[in-house]
Amino acid sequence: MPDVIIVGAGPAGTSAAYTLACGGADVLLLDRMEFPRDKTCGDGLTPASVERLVEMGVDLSDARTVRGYSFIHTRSDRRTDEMFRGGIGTKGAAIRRHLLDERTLQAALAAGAKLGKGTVSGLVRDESRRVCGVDFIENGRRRRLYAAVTLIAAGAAGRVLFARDDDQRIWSVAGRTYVTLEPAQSASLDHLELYFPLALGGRTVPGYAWIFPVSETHANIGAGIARTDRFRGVSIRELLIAFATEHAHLSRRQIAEVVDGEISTAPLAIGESTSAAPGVLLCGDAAGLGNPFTGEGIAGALLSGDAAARAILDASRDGEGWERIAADYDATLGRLLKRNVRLVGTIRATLDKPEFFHGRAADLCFARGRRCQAWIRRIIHDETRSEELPRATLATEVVVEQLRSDLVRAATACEPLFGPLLEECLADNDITLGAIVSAAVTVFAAAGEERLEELTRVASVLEVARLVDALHRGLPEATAIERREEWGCNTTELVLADVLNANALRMLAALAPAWSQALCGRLAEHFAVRSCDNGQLDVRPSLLDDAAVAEILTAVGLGAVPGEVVPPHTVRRVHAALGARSIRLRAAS
Amino acid sequence: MIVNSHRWVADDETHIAIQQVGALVSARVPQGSVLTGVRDQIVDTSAKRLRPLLLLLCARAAGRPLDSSALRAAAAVEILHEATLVHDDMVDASQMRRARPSVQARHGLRGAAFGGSALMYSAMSLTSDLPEYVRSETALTAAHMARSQVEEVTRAHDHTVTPLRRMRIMYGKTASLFRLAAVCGTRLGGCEPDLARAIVRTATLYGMAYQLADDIRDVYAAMHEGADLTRCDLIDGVATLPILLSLSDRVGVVARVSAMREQIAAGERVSHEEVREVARLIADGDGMAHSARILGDWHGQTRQHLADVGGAIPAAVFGSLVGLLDTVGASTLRPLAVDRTEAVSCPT
Repeated sequence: MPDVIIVGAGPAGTSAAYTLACGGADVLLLDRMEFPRDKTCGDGLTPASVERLVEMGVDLSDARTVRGYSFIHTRSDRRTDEMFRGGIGTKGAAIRRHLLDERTLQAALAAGAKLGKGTVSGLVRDESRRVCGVDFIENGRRRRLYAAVTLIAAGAAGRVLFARDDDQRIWSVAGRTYVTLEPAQSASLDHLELYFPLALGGRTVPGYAWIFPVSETHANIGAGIARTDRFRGVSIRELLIAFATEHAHLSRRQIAEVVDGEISTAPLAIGESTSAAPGVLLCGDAAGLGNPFTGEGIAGALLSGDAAARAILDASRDGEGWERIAADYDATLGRLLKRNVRLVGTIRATLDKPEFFHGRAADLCFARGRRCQAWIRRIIHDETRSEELPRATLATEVVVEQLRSDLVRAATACEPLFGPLLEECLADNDITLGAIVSAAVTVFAAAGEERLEELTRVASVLEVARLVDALHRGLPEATAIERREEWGCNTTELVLADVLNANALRMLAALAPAWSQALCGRLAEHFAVRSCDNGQLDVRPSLLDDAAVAEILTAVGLGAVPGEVVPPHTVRRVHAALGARSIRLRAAS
Repeated sequence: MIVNSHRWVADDETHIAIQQVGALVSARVPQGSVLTGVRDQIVDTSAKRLRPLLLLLCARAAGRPLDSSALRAAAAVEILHEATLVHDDMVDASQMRRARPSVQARHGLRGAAFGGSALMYSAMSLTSDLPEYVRSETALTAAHMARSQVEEVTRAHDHTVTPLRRMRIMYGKTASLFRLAAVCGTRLGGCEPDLARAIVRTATLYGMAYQLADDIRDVYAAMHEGADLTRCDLIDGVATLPILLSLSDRVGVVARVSAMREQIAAGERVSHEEVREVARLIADGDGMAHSARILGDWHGQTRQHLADVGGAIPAAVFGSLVGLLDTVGASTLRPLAVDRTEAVSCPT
């Protein structure tokens, strides 16, 4: 009896098998296909995938190196190249799946895993309903195989084995074909090219098309679309043909042969809140771990396979049981794929509004030099945030978290995509939510409970005002008419700012009248001055800078009336606390 | 000057007060900012100041004299309105406002963004020493307006919006501010709860009608030869009630509107001729007639609500309120429908 049975020998299964086998576990991989086998996919590998494959010793020397994404706006021919960012694996790659999957399988087998060819027809459960193995059909003979842990890594189809009633995933379908490239055309293709928005019959659809180079002579060209009720009937073949005929010129390549090519399609399912049940872990697409925006699933597969394997090995080393494995795996997935989990609900809510979701998102991607652009791209890139953020005192965290969630909730209520956008905005390096609240709470916690509430409210107003300030500063100086084509993005920033303004007004309404008036006056003056100082925005002497804020906080904390002189040494302490910026937001859980 | 634009204000006290509100608003526009231009426009006669006027009339409805609270609240409502206009002009890429270049056209997007926010806090500062409900209602209204603006923007060029949903946007973007004026006015003026409720309901529906009349005029305006297409619902992709109702009526319109949308999305300039033709299709269709009927119905209802409580309101104030409600009566549209050339002057 093996320690672990893995259903599916694709990237997720082999990644798990490799780590388990290296750790000394007895692993049995099961797959119904004879390898090498083909698989419908975009064939693109993100830096995170490349890093993991190198770790597994997979040879990528004949893969095409790609440097990043290119976003191509189908309606205007605008193109923007986006290099991969991040640490070591800053290069992505593209390689056909029949090559890739054969190599990852060989890596797992070389490490000591075993392979069985046949079909898994169901899960076996013990009397406590815990999964203890699988029913396996090999050469027409049914066998029952038992293992301590079963991993399901059988792609979107893996859900058949593990049906759930509350399926909240986004179901999509993608199709692709291969076209030959002239050498001259091939050389210029060193990015993963994404084309959107896509329209069929005058109707924008929630999907995009891609062209990825897979070798010196071939490119993978395909399209994917979310299967919502509104778009259930859209044919991938038609979509791809429409793309090839209408937008062929955008790629500056001969891609018209698509029309006659063989297009193979495959389903995708993204977004699953749990990835474990007693005795069984789900990895990769079976757990819905693809990027909800792009559908890219190999990175999620490789990383989750490895994470599942590590959780099993760690628990076994420490002599612990199933609970530990499930908790560990869940925690790692949460860290690796947090954004996915958070975004899926959002994206599901916007899929039926493709004009906004892919139309606007396109606008956001193509606007130059704006904050929103960076945020939306971070969402698309699926970048995890840098390092874990330092913890602050509990009281401060509670207040900041409250403010953060209030703002995000208000933004989400207006438009689902605005929630994540605001979260990205709050994670920006130069917009640090929490510094003022933190200073207010830590310096004045001792000043007495009764001042604390007023103080945090004032601090929250100032925090929001700084946010609005940052959003406004990101706007161009030009008028809307001059920038009409890029205006989509800026509109988002403006209306988002007004949502925040309304929140500030709500908090101001709850303040003591004298302070409400003083703060309103101060903010009106601040923004009025700002409206005139175009071009000098980096010079920051402003009515909202740390010195000014420290003075307000001190006065409120001491129960002074607006304008009253407060002890300078106290102001200095607050000022110092502000400078320390002792708190930064922890990403939403 | 004011006399000409508000001939129907029969209540002398309100008449004087609205001019004082104008001065108060002008004084409260932050000094030395890009908004100096806004101040010029506010003092200008073309500013209708319907919202502060409504607030003052509501404050007079119980027969009490106006005090400084009502004046301040009226000024706050007007400034909040101005703040949203400055930001709206950015969203719509409008070049003109009240026959002058808009703030964003003059000072760019960044300047206008800051300017609009400055006005918002300026409005709030006026309410600081007013009763708590004025402050909280003002903040609530700002939230409604922001939310509806978001909805309108994210739904741009999406003509699958249901009429009901569009009405919700109309409430948030327009009617909620009239409602705010009525809520503050009736309470500051000491109206009995029943009277206050009736007036607030009237005012809210008036706000809806006001927006609908605006949307109807927008279609007529787009038909005009020399229309300013920089603020045109068809081009901005705002699915107004007349446009939505036309789309459900006539398949031909759907195709034309979506063709235009694709053109706009591709960054191409839509010809004036094309816009004019689509506007004409809409204007001649049942959707437009349907919209006009809805408008007439709403207008009739506001008159009825007011008449029901008319006995409790001083005659001069009642007469002025009726005059206000009639600014969206069907008669205000008829001349436009007959002679479309008059539709050029876009309503605010």
